[in-house]
Amino acid sequence: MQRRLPAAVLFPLLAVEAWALVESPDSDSSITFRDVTAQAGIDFVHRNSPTPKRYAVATVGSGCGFIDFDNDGYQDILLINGGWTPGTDKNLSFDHSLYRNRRDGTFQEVTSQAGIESNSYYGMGVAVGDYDNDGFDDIFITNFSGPDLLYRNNGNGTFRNRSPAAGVGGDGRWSSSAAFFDYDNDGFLDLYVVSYTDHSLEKNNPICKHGPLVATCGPEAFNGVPDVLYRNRGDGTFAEVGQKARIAQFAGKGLGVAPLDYDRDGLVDIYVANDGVDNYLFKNEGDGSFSEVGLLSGTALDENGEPQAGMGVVAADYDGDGLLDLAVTNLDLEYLALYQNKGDGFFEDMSSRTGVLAPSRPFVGFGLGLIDVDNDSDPDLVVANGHVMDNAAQLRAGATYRQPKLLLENVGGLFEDVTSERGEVLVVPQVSRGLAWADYDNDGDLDVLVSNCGGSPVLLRNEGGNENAWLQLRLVGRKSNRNGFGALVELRFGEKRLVSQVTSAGSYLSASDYRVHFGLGDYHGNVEVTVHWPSGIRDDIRELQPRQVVVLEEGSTNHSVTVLDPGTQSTN
Amino acid sequence: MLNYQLGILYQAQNQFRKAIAQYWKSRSLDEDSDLYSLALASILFHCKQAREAIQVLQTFLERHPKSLPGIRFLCRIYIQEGQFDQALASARKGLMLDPSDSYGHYLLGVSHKGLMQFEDAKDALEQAVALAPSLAEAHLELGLLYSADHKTFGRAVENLKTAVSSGLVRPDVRKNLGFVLLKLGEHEKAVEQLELALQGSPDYVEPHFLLADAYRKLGMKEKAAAALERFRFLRKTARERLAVQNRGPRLYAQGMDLMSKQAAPEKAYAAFLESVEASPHMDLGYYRLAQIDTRRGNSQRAADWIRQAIQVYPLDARYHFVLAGLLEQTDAAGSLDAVKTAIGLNPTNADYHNLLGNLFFKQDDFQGAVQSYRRAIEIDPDDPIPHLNLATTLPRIGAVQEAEREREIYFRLTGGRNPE
Repeated sequence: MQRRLPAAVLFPLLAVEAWALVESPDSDSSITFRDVTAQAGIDFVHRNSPTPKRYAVATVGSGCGFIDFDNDGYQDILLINGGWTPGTDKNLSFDHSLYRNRRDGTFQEVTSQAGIESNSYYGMGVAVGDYDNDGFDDIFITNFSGPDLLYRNNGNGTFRNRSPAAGVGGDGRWSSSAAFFDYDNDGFLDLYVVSYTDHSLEKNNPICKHGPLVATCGPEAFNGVPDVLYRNRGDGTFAEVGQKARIAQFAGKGLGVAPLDYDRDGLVDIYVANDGVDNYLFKNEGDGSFSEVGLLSGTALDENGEPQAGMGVVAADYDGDGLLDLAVTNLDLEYLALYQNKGDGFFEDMSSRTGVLAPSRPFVGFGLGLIDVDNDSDPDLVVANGHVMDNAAQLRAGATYRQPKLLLENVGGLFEDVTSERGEVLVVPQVSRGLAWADYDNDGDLDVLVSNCGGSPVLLRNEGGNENAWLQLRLVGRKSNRNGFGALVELRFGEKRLVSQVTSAGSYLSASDYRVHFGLGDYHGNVEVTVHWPSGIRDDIRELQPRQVVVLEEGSTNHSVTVLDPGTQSTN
Repeated sequence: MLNYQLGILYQAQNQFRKAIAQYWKSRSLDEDSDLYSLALASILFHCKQAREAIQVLQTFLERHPKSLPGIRFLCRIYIQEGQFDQALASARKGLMLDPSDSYGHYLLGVSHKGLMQFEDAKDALEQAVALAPSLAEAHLELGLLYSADHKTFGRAVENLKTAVSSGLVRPDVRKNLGFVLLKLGEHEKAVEQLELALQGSPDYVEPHFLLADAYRKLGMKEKAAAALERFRFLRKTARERLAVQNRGPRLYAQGMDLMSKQAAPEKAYAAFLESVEASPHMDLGYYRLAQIDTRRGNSQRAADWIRQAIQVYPLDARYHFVLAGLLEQTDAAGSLDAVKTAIGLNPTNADYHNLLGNLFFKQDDFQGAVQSYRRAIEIDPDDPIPHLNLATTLPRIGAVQEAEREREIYFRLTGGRNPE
């Protein structure tokens, strides 16, 4: 891999002059995603334990996550496994798999040596965050039919299960996605755990039929369950505060969660994608409580006023107006809902007006990313699809269980379906569920990891994305939480202003690299960055060169820079 | 012809059971008549017996594969039933016979749409409106398809407007027109259409949601708030209604689940009982209660349940047949009436004719019994029972040799098993 020298280094310019050189970002990119799962050494297989009775849990899949657990600057991989259902072999292994990034494009499986215990529940999702601010990212795993698990990173490449002591095991309700975020801005990460329904293998396990066929029960067969909010006490323990925070009164059927400060009041709000009922937007009131404003804000329903089957959700600024928008995956014959943040407390469903509706309509979407895969300075949509009914083809003509992925390229705020042009692997039909993103090979473009229900995951290496310029920022909070979760980062070059919020959450049951990644198109001059920290501190950094990872510490204009090149690292 | 006319008369008086029986008779007298077959299929479909309607049309089309009205109607039923692959095949068959049939292209388009083949759907529907510019349904479908993509919002508006001007002035068409106008930023025009949608049906939920959005964009905050509030209220009411409606079916499903486990008939019975208490109009619940009571040997109570099922839905031939079976030993006249009704509603079931034969036999009406058994054999020649019954009855009318032949057929079909 050759390292390009930024134009600014070859031809130093004054900042003022640099603005004049801004060109339109190149939308005619030639990126390709390549399936590198096998060559990367990832041999994990998800076990969902399907049976003729078609238990609901067996179709929702499990998530995947990126985490740099050994702090070597390279993203490692965690894959969550499913579990047992009645009528299947109890003796099979349902263990999760942790893979350490060897920094040469391959991974080493280190699950047991890292202290990740054998999985005796039915695994669902993963959240990543440094809850004790010790500089090492911890792991939270959600479960069906068992307590959720918090693994504290010991800082030496191993983890220890701290759930009982930390008080985040839950009460056995079906947990799906989870998110670390700091809702009270006290510098410690709190935890939001989404609950799905009251389905259980022992007590509530109906058989649903479509005509003579047994079909997986939809959410309408079950009751909704309130989500759980844990406040971090700052001493390694959490308090369950759902009632006090006024979220416990909402019994949704949640699958996805995205923390976002949609109204830019410095307080992180929460959006929950619910299956078959209204989605929730919990506005953070700043006094420890939330108000549910989904319907009022225009994010609860589709553009016709109907609830959709919310699965995954992600927040990002797709139209470059500095406000965080929302994208939510749904069932086929519904559509991927793209809610544009209007800035006045309202969102508008722009799915049909941006070209998202039509290509997404045939598919059941789950994990998704609103990420700039071609580095042309606007986020594109990457979607993991797969039907919920394994006998979909028998239930409705034209439906298929396995489905291709979807890549919609953002071209000036409109989306074009480029799936078939960006790698054969994208059109391979699979039963995809989780989706996470990271620049795992540190080559300057975002790669994608997809978990498949009852199958092997796929690691999709982005090839060609780094032809355009980019910049990655890793925030280190001092007064704010160590991860800088919730910080709003503004990057400016020319007349462009890109905004991103730091989080590892979003998508579906998955956790992504929380380094902020900006594509810069063919711009090679220096850029300016402003960080609005959750603590209220604002840091302005000027003259940052593209094509590097910059580590920014809260409250300091000093920063360290990592110039990336696979296999080597250098820091200045 | 007389039966057909009687059928029309009964249908006009909403006496569907009698109408169905008359249409069946007219059809059995002339199976080549598309008029009779289509009339029968039409009333069956109207009475929620889509499967039976499909069977009637399929039988008719086997004899007359080039009947365009038959193909079209079958295609429509497939579409209504969500069987889009069969609908597509039927639509294609129809267009082979008449490529310039605008309605055929419309059916083809809707079938493609059902299969999520949206581009093909657009092509077919465009063809339909090219052939028949005022085909309102095709314009509506095109409008809906074009409203999914920002590049074709303008075309969506044109199509929806044409649908309205061609006579399709339903509230949902107005609502969809308002919806696209809203997306195009034509807020005032959108309000106009949405208000028109509500004129005929003020409790139509979705227009209120869209109106709230339109009013807000026009700066009419109070109206927007009122529309949203109305939307909330109507949704809540609809949800509550749905919850009540769903309780019975949910309990019924539980009962079916328990019944399939066989080990819990008491629990299944309790679930069905609860289901009919929650939804007294759920005939299937009564039917299952009757089934369990029959198994328990409580024919009297089973008959009561099945009568309730019939009261709710008198057009299901099965219910009358079950009632006839339950009354066979205790009320011959009642049983005869019931099985005759069953046959009137569905004369294509061999079991019904066999039971009728048994009842005639008990009344010493051997000619009637023979006729019924023969009809049963005609419908299902491989069922050994009517052959045996016929063999037993024929000597009573002096047809000993024929009886012997029937007995031989019975032995052949049962592999030589002696009747018990």
